Formats: sequence, structure tokens, C-alpha cells
Amino acid sequence: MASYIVRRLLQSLLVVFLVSLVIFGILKLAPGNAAQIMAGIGAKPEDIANLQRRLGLDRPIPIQYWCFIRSFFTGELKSMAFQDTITGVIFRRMLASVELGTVAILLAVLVSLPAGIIAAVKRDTVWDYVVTLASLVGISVPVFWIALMLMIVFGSNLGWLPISGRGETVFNLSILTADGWAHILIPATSIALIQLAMNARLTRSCLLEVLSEDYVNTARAKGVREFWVVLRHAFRNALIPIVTNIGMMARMLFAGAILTETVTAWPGVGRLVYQAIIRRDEPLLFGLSILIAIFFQLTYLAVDLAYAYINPRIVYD
Amino acid sequence: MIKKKTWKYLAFIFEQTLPWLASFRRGNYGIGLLVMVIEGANVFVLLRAHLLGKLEAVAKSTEGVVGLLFLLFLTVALRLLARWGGWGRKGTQKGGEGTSHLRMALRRVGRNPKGIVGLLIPLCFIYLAFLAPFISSDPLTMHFMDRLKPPSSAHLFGTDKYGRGIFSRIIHGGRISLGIGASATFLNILLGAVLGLLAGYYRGAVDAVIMRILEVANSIPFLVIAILVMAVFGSSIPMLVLVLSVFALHPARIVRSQVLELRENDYVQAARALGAGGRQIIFSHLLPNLLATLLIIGSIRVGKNILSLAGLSFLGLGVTPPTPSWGAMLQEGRSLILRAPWIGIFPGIAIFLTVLSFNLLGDALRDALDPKLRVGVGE
Repeated sequence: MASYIVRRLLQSLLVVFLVSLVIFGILKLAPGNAAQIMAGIGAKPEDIANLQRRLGLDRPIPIQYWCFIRSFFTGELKSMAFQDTITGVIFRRMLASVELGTVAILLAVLVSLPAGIIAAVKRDTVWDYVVTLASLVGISVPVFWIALMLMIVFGSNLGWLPISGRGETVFNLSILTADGWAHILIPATSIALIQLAMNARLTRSCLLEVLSEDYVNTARAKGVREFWVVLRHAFRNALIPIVTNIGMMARMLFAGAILTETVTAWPGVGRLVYQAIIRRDEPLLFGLSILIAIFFQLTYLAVDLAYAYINPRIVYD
Repeated sequence: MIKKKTWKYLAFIFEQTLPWLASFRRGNYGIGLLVMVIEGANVFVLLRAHLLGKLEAVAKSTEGVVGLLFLLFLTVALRLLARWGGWGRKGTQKGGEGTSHLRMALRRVGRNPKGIVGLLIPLCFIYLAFLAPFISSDPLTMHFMDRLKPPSSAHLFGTDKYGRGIFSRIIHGGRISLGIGASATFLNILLGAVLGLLAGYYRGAVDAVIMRILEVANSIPFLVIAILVMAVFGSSIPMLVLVLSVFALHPARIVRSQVLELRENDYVQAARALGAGGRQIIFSHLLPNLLATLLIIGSIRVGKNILSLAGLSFLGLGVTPPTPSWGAMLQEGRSLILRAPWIGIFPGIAIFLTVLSFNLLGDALRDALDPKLRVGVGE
């Protein structure tokens, strides 16, 4: 097990390195550079040249890459737009994203698993049709449009919820105050609805696959209550793809909500990524993409380790 | 007393002029409905344009001619499709000799309510897109007297802040969404098939390289790389198609895993033992078996691409204004959410209906072609 984890981590390191190369490559291949954008339209050529020298943009590209990587790991990489080290900038935004993601994922998982299970067990009944139809609708709507509609209905028409921002925070967390909760509801629900729909569909189809297996009938024949047949014998065996999907959702904790955060003006990492790209903040974007890649790789590893826990037949060595 | 032969002729004429009625008579309500709606709409659109006195003028413009040609094409194509798929005929449930797998599958799609809706809605949008000059006002001309008008009979879905009709802009935006969505999907599936086949069939070093590429793609959120590329290279329609097709490599993964399974089949081993080369095995043994999967993923991906495109346009990185696009209209609606909610509501419904129908079509194709393929594949 330990050697497997070490090997996986080494592989991840390679992937993260390649990701950093891809992002850096795109930034350097692009026409124009950060200095021109910072200097603005109509700046004098010598001003741009000065700025380029100050930002180190006149050095050879491999050297620039090395500088980025080195200062990333020493924590000295500075954002150009925010006048701060990127760790500082990201840390301030990270809590907002993580709490939004956590609320959304909890909501999605807590609703989608029961919904999917009910739909599968009561196949071809009204329950099934409602869940199937609702989840089809859920995977077909643009997430930011849902947020917009919630804002129109609950924010503007009914006036129950505020339509943007984070509200009052304690320790930089919204979920600790009532006002913060009011602010988090719209973005969290809109993210959750999409994820919920996807997961409910998946749960239903995986459980249906398993419910026709012989061991489920065997369990019934032994006199196990139907409730436990479904939950212990069937559901546990249907869990692998579901856990994979939940892992995919968990990736969003960090920077998965670009559109929702933009619509609802939620100051999270997703919006930071967008701002970094639009302002051509190369160091910030570089740092962010490495962090995102690391986070993704760790999620994948966690999902694979969860497999071994769910199904003891899966052994890593 | 009418002769039997005359009856036959009458039946033939009846079937050719009103094919949907014939379908109804035979109990094929789904396809009957499909053809009826489209053909009914034809008559309605042309009649309305004529009554408004627009028909003659529009029919002379290039756009109008293209629209009319399309109308002709659609009518013929629908009938051919219905005929080929056997949707209009009786007793087509049984396969019989000479009925290909694909043809049978198409029949099953045509009998599935999901499939019918999944075909009907995109067809309507394509239809509206082509006939736009006959039914709606110009989506670019601004009428400052009519700014921010709520929905009414004059402006079906209301107007935006420049007084342009939302209805007209949605119809014209459909061209962009469906066009880019479909072409990006085609490229995307092509790329996925090539990568997946190479990795799955040749294994070894090729597989290792392709797998690393897939892992890297899997570690950068799609939206991040899409926004980055669109922002630094500037947005244009070819660029959008490229971004949507190249960076979403999920299909390659699915194809690869299917190929890994397929290549262990006896017939592949036998072909190899007989000395068939890699190219022959890929094209005559693997690819035909993959078509079903590709079709299913493709249908779902069209919807996915339309969603991504809307997301990019929403962030201002899609098609450049003033060309109407659904995502950009939502962006406009966001800023006027309190004063003019209709600007944000209707384009969203258009996106939703289109994506929903491609998902339904994907489901119907899955039911017909490969029920074992997991829900959620390609999503």
C-alpha cells in the first residue's frame, strides 16, 4: 500500500510538471505579453521595454520558467495585479471556495443518493419517473442560468435572499453567520442542483445493474429485510462508480465554480482564476494552475484509495 | 364502383401528400407528430410571411433562397429518413433479412418518446435558424424607441437594451450554438476515436504517451484552459470550435477502454492470426464495433459543448458582439436582472431545451444501441 501511494505520488509529480509546462507554454506562445497589457494601450515602447526588464520578461524562456518554478516553491511568486505573494492572494480566497464547495457537495450527495436509490428500487413507478425526469432537467441547464433564475425569484421577486457577495463573515467563513448563510444559499443550491442530477442518474443506473445480481436474490432468500438488502448488499457493490463521481465533484471544492462565482459575485478561487486570466496575471495563473493540478491529483488518489476500502477485493501493491 | 388499382393510387397519393396522417393511421404516433409539426410549421411560416407581404421580398434575398432550399431539403430528408427507418410502415418490429443493425436501432429510436423529443427540438431550432428571415425581425438593427420592452404580441420575448427583439436574437443565436456545438463535437469525437484506438490497440509506448496527455488534460479544469486560450489568442468561431474539441478528451478515455476489451475478442485474435495488419483490424473489426458508442457520446457531447459555449460567451469570450449568442444574451440579462428579467430568462430556456433534447437523444440511442453503456458516460 505504502509503495503504491509513493509510486502514485511520483506519477502525479510528473503530471503536475507537465501541466505547468502546458500553462507556461500557452502564456508564452500567446501574442503580446504582460508588460504590454500592464502598460496599457498607447504606452511608449521604451516604457514597455523598461517594464519588461523589471518583470524579467526579456530573459530567455527556460530561465523565466525556472524562476517561476523556484519562486513558486519558495513562496515568493508575486501576483502582478494584486501586489501580494500568490499564496497570500489564494489563501484569502480559498476559504470562500472551499466552504461554498462543501455546502454544495453535501447538499448534492445527501439528496442525490436517496433519490437515486428510491428511483432504482421503485423502478417504473411515479417516483422513478419524477427522479429520472428531474435529473435529466438538472443535467441540461446551464449552472449560471440556474443561479440567475434563483436570483430573480428569491432575490428580486420574493426578496428573501441577497443576490450577491458573501455577507457577514466570522474567521473569514460565511457559514458561521446567519447573514452568510443567506448569501451562500443561492450559489450553493445552483451548483448542487447540477451535481445532484448527475449523481442521482448515476446512482439509479448503477443500483439497477446490481439489483439483478444473484447475490441480491440470495440475500432476500436468506430472509434479510429488503431495506438492508438494498443498502448493504446492493448499494455497497454499486458504490464504485458513485464514489468516482463524488470524487469528480470534490475537485470543484477548489476552483470548480468559475461561472457560479462570477454570476453571484462570490469571491472564491474560481473567480480569481478568471480574473488572473483576464488581467494576464501570469505568475498568479501559473501558481493557481499548479495548485489546481496538485489538488486534482490528490483527489484522484483519494478516490482510488477509497475503492480499496469499499471493495476489499481491490488490493494495491 | 372504384377499382382496386385506383384505391392503390389514391392511397399512394394520400401517403405522399400527408405522410404524417399515414403514420398516425398505422399507429406510429411519434414520427407522425414529428413530420406533422415540421410540415405544419412550413405552411404556417410561408402563409404568415405572405400575409405580411414579406414573402416576395425575402424570397429574393440570398438568405431567403437558402432558407427555402433548406425547407425543401428538410421535407425530402425527413420523408427519406422515415421511409428508410421504416417509421411509416406497419410491422417493422421484426428484423428480417437485410435489415442492418444501425437501421434497426434507428427504428427503435424513432419509437422511443425520448428519441422523438430529442430529434424534434433540435430540428425545430435548425428549422427556425434557416427560416429566420421569414419569421423574425433583424437581430442587429437597434430600435431605441423600443428599449427594454416586456414580452408582448409585437415583441414575443421582449426586447433588450438596444431595442432588439429577444425572439429574433434567440433564433439567430441558435445558428451559432448548434453550428459550433455540432462541428466541435464532430472534431472532438474524431480526435477521441483516433487517440483511443491508437492507445488501446497499439498499447506500449503509444499508450503511455497518450495516457499522459489524457492525465494532463484531466488535471486542468476544462473551463480554465478554455478561458485562457480564448482570452490570450482572441475569440473567433474557428478558435471556439478548436477549443471545445481539443481540450475535452474524455471520449478518448472511453474509446480506449472499449478497445482494450474488444481487442481480446476471438474474432480480433483470429484476424491477427490470419495475418491482418493493424490498420485492417482497426478499420474492419474495431471501428464498426465502436460506432454505437461514438454515436451515443457524440449526442451527449453536443449538449455539453453548447453548455460550455454558453459559459464562455457568458464570460464575454464567445462569439464577438453584436452577433447574437445565447450565452452573451444571458450576460446582458445578468446586469439587467432587476429591470428586465425576460432578457435572462428566454435564452436560458433555449439553451436548456437544446441541451435537454440532445441528452434525451443520447439516452434513446443508448437504449437502442448499447443498454449496458453506463449512464454518465461522456457527461
